[in-house]
Amino acid sequence: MKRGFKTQAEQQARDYRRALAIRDSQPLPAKSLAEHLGIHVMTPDEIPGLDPLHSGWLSNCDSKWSAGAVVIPEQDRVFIVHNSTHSRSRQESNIMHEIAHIICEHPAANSGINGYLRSYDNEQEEEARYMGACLQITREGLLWALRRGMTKEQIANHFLASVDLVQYRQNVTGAGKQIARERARRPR
Amino acid sequence: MTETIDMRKLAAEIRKKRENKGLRETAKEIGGISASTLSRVEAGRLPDLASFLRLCQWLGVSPDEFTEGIADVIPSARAVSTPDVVEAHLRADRELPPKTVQALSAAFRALYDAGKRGEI
Repeated sequence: MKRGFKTQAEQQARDYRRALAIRDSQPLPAKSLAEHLGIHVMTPDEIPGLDPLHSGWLSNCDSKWSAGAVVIPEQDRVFIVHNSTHSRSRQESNIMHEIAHIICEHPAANSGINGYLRSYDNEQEEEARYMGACLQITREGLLWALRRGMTKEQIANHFLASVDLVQYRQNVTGAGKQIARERARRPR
Repeated sequence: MTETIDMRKLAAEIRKKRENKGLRETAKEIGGISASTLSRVEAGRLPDLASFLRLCQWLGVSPDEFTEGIADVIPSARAVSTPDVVEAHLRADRELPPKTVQALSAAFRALYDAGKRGEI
């Protein structure tokens, strides 16, 4: 990731919560952030004119897709389509990941198309992963939860996230270590 | 994947016109583009379509100047059919079943068309 990206991502995540009047200790639903950013979130069955065979397949657990974003540049509109067969936490992560790509201004690999379909770019995926996770759980939110003695599962449930994401945030923020140091310093 | 924009030429033209002016000031002058996007374009990263068109307007040139071999990148015309390009994007996006690639291609196309028609 580019130098300074992580610091910027952490700050942006806090800024969006301020703008939405959502505290760090509260969950940030991906659709709330999408609405704030003017991004439409849909499932395939909501797309007008789509062949039911295709929307049916995309609603099938075997289709193995997560989400994608479509941009109509001349209208300055962005749409995210996501897989609603996934668990609630996975859906949140999928949508937040796409929002993260948009916030990070990741360009489509081919601007000759009218869609915003991203090819796999390692650096961009890492950035979106980091940003998406920040948006779901800020460092301050994680510290708040850990100080209350919440387990990873409880933190995940609270923030509409997966346990893996909670662990990821603990690893990249060092929050777990900070809490351990705080506890070690407490008088017995 | 084939590049559709001659980024080297675009970046050079931007740097030439910008001269010693700062990125922020230049981005403000162009309008609708951030300094960080401008910086990325100068570094050779492909811009999104809206930014590309704004840059061409600021440079006072047609988009064709940077799109060799492509008939038209203006939204109304497509040099590459959406399903082909979707396939190119999604093929790189892990191992999606072909049926899913086809369905997603159709979904994104339908979404785009519905959006343009004002149905959503």
